[in-house]
Amino acid sequence: MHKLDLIIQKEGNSQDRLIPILWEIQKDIGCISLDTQTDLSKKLNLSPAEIQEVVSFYHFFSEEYRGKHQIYIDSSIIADFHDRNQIKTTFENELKINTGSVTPCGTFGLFETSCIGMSDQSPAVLIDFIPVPSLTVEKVKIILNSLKNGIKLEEIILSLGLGDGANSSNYIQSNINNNIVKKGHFLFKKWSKGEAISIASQMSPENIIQVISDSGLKGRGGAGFPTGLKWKLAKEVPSDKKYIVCNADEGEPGTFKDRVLLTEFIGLLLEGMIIASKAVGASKGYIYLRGEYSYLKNHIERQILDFKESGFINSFPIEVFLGAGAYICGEESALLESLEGKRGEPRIKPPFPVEQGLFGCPTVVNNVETFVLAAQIIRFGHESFSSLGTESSRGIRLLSISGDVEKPGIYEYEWGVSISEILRDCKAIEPTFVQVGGPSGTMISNKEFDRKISHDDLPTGGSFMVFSKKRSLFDILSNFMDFFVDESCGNCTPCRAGNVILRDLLTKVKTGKARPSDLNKIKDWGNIVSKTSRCGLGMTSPNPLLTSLKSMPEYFENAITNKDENFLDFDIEQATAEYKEFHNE
Amino acid sequence: MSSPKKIPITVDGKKYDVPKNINLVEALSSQGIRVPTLCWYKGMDDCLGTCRVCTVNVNGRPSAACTLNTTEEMKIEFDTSELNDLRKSIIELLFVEGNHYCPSCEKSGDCLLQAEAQALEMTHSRFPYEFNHYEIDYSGEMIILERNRCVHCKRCTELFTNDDGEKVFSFIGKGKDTQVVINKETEKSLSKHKAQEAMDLCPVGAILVKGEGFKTPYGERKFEKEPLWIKK
Repeated sequence: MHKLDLIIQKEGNSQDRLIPILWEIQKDIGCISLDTQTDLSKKLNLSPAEIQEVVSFYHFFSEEYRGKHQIYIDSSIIADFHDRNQIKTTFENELKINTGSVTPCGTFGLFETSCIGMSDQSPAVLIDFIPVPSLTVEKVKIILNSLKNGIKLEEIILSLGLGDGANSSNYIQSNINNNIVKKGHFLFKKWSKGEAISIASQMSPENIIQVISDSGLKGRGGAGFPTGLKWKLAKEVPSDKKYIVCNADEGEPGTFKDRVLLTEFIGLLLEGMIIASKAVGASKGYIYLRGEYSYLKNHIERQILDFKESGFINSFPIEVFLGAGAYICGEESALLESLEGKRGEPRIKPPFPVEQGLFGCPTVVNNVETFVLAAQIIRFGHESFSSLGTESSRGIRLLSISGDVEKPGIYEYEWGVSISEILRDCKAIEPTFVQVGGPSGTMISNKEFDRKISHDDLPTGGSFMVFSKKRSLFDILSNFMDFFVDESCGNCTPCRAGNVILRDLLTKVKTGKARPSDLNKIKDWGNIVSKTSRCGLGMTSPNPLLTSLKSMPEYFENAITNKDENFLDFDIEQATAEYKEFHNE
Repeated sequence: MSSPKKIPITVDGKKYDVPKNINLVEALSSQGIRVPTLCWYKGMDDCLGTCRVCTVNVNGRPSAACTLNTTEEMKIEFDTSELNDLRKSIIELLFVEGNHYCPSCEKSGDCLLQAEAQALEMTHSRFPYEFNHYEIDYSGEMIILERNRCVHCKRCTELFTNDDGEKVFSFIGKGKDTQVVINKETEKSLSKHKAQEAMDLCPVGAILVKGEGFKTPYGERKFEKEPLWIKK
């Protein structure tokens, strides 16, 4: 297998190169067959089973052939509400296949995938891992016909028109728009290359950590851990090797702000990482980029090269590492497992990554936005940040706003902004429910629009989905529960088995087959999953159900059409059909 | 050798002195408090933390006891109605996720899931049965993999190897589709003794040695002689 040798020659043959190697095979051959896995295992000195464990975990890796052109349809709820079904049907009709299969000639494979970070220009698909947003039936036909006629995807994208900002640069060339709607006064201050690094170079590591701590910056991934403290903890662990990892695995449905930051603020991001490396004494950096954003890899690498040429990163190489379609890898310890070439299963904590992270070494994992903000804080001083926001939540928060609004896109707000103010700004259309923080966040009703975005009221990782009165609450909740069932890693009992049970219970309510007591079951069973799960995924997956039941119980009560606790919640004819057939009744 | 330093911890309001930095399940067990477990067993080096049956409250937050070591002034809540019910509910979840028919199972009486269910006085599952379909793998030389009974604890995939230190069992897929598979090459090399070790390591009846299932008669099996609910 000449090809395999070339790939291994390029990537190296240690286990931590496994995912980059699998990516090359998947893109090159269209699948990673069991035979290929066996060949690869010999070359990497692993067992075939160890390779299969990894291949079968990631959504974008497949043992079966996925076609010369692999098409993934975004299955987020926002896409659902933007005629996703019509787009899906068009693909199916044009290709004469069902979703989840490959055309007989092997040219096209059609599949679905969780939110691809394009909720502001939905519906979108990935074609050969290049996102194509704002689809219409016409556009789908044009794209497929062009591909069938052998026209290259890059040319098709060019003919569709390039997006704004760096999207049109030579290193991206995408059809995507940034949709930056509201520029605040902190993040969007003009960048001047190397300024933050140069200021930090005059500071001691302790000094840098002090400034970040004084700013009140908290991690922007959602959990809100104080960034200064994280850096301090990693600094204090003695080790020859330490790592800085940027979590660019923006997988929470409805968020896309990191996509825009990676496109427009990549310089600031790198500066933030370099400053962090100085603060904790790290010798290598990684940007774990979600597979869905692989179209940004060249752009990021170009900027890294530029920094290298400018002499900013002599002793701190930064590598871009592509994820392969697993929401769970946004959990920092799962992300580290993935970086080591393994299944992205969350680790047991303690030890925390700041003590034992990547390859057992102290590691700081921060979100894209966190690094970008850290660089700005170094430039403008901690007070420029801490003077914004609220007591519990300092500074600004980027929101990715999507759904039933006239102006979807990126908004910079100070923490503490009210939901109603946001809804006014984005010109929400008859807003009835808002999902704050994505499926793992909080669902609120229009009675609660005076609530505020903050760590002690409505915390958020940046996703803000608005739903008008014509949307069905249960459609939304079902989409979210399907998402969690698909994305659970399967490692712990409550998340693996419990989310399936919760989804089934929700289906009962949605289809009018629930009994009055089932509403208490949602509360009780949701509580079981959130209290006993191993990581943040299971701890938060019941949130949409629990928060919507709390804030709008009337929707659930109205869905209980039969108030008799003892009514048969199944079809007795159907249940006994086999018996009757057998006995010729 | 000096004896390990003892530190005070509180369990359900009572103070105990336990060795510092030892596994919490073991620490509680040494004080006569039996914490239910499935994936964890005494003497293992690294816990798996997969089953979550040992959930307790530590300093007010629910955690799997097997994943923690004792630290000074740790405040544990264990015997509360909510926690007892949480632990029991996980056993019930496993019963509806898999297909467990105890009376016909080769491991009945030796099965930890069954023993814990009895110890926690589980009479039924509150959750609807899933009736999932699982493939049974008979293709091994020595071993049958009965996936209907697998609890995904990862004991076999993480801890078991053949005499050459190679993995025999792997975990493939994701989420509810995760399943254990046998590595045929390494399974072939297993001695009968080693295969029996795998069967004993499995807390349930998912790993069976061909022809050995009913060697010990019912009535004389591990948990029949020493049920978990009597052994306090």
